[in-house]
Amino acid sequence: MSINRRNFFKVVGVTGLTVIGLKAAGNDSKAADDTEFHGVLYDSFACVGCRNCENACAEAHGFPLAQDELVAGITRKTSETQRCVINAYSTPNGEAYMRTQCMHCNEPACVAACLTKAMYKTKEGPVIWRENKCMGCRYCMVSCPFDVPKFEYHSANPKIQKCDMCYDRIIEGKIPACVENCGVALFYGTRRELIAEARKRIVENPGVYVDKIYGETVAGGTGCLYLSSVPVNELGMKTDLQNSSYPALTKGFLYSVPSVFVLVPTLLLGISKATKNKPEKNEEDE
Amino acid sequence: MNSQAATAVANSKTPTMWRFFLSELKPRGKWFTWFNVISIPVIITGLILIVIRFANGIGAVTNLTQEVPWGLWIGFDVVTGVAFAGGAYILTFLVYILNQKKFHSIVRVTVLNGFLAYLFYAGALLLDLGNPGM
Repeated sequence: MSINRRNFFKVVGVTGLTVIGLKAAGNDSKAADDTEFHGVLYDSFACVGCRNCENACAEAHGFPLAQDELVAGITRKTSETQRCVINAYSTPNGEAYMRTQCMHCNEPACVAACLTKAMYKTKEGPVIWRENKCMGCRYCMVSCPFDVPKFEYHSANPKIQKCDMCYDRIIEGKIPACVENCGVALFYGTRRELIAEARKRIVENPGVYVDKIYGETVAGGTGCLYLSSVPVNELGMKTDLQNSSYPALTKGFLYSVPSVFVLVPTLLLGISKATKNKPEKNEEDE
Repeated sequence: MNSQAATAVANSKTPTMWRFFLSELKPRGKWFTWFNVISIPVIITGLILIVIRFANGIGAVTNLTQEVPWGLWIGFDVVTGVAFAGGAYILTFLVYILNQKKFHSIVRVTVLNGFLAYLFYAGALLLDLGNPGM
């Protein structure tokens, strides 16, 4: 059998597609890793607003200690030199505190938006930022529903700053610096354990807590969970977010993009053939 | 030393090319025109801003904040760059897909225009990246 060029390309194409297809279909049997997502539970009712967690965070990541006073009603914000903040609020139950930092979503919008995979959801749970991959496009800041990532606008070699749940400490087997220095209001563990602990607290202290764990469902579930004695929207937390994951909104569309490469050329070729060689258009020949 | 030798070889091989570029750079006719009077200061200001931007960070030349990470630069780039380049798509679509041959004479200049639009669009986007050398 002789083989001409056209048949050769056909065979190569079919073989290549088959190999790709088999790889995509089969190779899912990686060693099952039973590492669970970890998270941090913050009990707003137990928090006394001492800001030890802020200072421990600043020390652990080499930032200056925050000098401003904690005043109820004045909202302090995380910044490129402060990865977590405690805020005080006046509520009907007296002064209450709330902590703000990266929520470590189960399905983070920043990870889906990042073009260079610099934002990364680790299998241990923390969402980390990897310096050697970031090109500084700030897509993560635009996409984050909690406005967490902060950018060093005044640096010639800018970084994204956000809480990484002390990932370097976690892989060493230690717990995050803030949790280690708190002792009353912050707890580290697997997300499953933390939700169980939060439920237990709600049940065992009737009337103390709002019967809702912020972070259990918001934005598809987050690694950071919050208990509070007043509704969290009175403590500066966003409650207008959806309860399903944000990347899921675009997934269907993004998977359909490759079909454009097949359908649009076909369509254009069809139009081109259909409009060609009409007698009245043929006077200017090439 | 090696690289110098290599450049020398390249130069001796392509003197006509360099002469061509130099002759192209030489202004023909009047250069003190309204277009130049306006555009030269704009270009020089832009170059100075680019130097400051790479020395002191994006915050030194823009008013971007943690709440508004994308501003005028991306807005202006996308609106003008894509609009300019869109012309090339439309015209090539008309001529090569819809076979409207009467527009064929302006395809070249339109495609060049679209190419330049994308070139400056991409260049301006690079300036807006925090770490374009990544």
